[in-house]
Amino acid sequence: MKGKAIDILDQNRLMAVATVRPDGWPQCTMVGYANEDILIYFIISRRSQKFANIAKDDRVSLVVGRDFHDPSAIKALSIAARASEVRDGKQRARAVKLLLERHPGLRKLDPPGDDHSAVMRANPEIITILDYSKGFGHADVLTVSPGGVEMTPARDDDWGFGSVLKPVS
Amino acid sequence: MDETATQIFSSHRIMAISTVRPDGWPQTTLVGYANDGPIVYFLIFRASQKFANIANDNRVSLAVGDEPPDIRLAQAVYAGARASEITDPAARERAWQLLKQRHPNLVGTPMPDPSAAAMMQAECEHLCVLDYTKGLGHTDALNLPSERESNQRLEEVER
Repeated sequence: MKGKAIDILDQNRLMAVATVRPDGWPQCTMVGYANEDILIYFIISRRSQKFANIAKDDRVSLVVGRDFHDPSAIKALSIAARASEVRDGKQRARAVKLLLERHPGLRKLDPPGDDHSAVMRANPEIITILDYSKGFGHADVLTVSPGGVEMTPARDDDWGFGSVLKPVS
Repeated sequence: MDETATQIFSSHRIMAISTVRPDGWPQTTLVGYANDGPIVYFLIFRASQKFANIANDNRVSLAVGDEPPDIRLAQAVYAGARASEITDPAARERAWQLLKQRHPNLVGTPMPDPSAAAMMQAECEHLCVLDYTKGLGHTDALNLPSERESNQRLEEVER
């Protein structure tokens, strides 16, 4: 099941990241990412509200997925993770390399300067895998801990739609 | 509402929505939506964590945008909004019509039973419009008066 989460991460490169502001408002923005196994790298500005939020509370929520033609083709992840800055020079260089491989368009831009850009990593703790090919609303939950990955049984919230929801014509 | 924000909201149909769990963790999911200006409509499962989160704290954050062919064309809108359930049957029916227009695959399916799915609205209060066509990293922030504040202002004018 972890393999399926990695597949979905590998097949995408844009995610929504939510942090919580000091005043308690959630704040959701979109960022490009690259992943290595289930470890997720992204770059944010040191001057951003997001960076300040993470410095205060490292709990973040990530979503990976895309619009769909056929509802039964929905494959998405909702992830609870802890985010931190990558300060180790070697790991930072590796993260930047992975990000440039996943986002070749970024090569046109100046490389991220350490004074302006923070390279971040998000370590998933709970991964919800949505796979509607198994039924509308089908979700498996993975809990990641140092001891390994544990899966809880699938939950199906089909909203009463059952299998009647048609592809978008 | 800002023209670029309106254009981005109106040309998409799925958004990321973040709520805050009672334990303080943010929680983000993708939902289909339809909007009428700065009011965004969506359905959520009544038994969902998201519904419980909103019942506990109605502040939500929305993100709409997709991947551009070139980062210099990136456009997205982020909104701080307050979410609430629509309980008035006529308002719920109107929201369902808007959702069906935006999501044609819903046409012909009955509105999900209100006992299972809640029809929600989110009223945008703070908007951040990211528009890299105006320059890399360009963002505009604007605040929209909430209905409550508008009413207060109206009352002040009337006084």
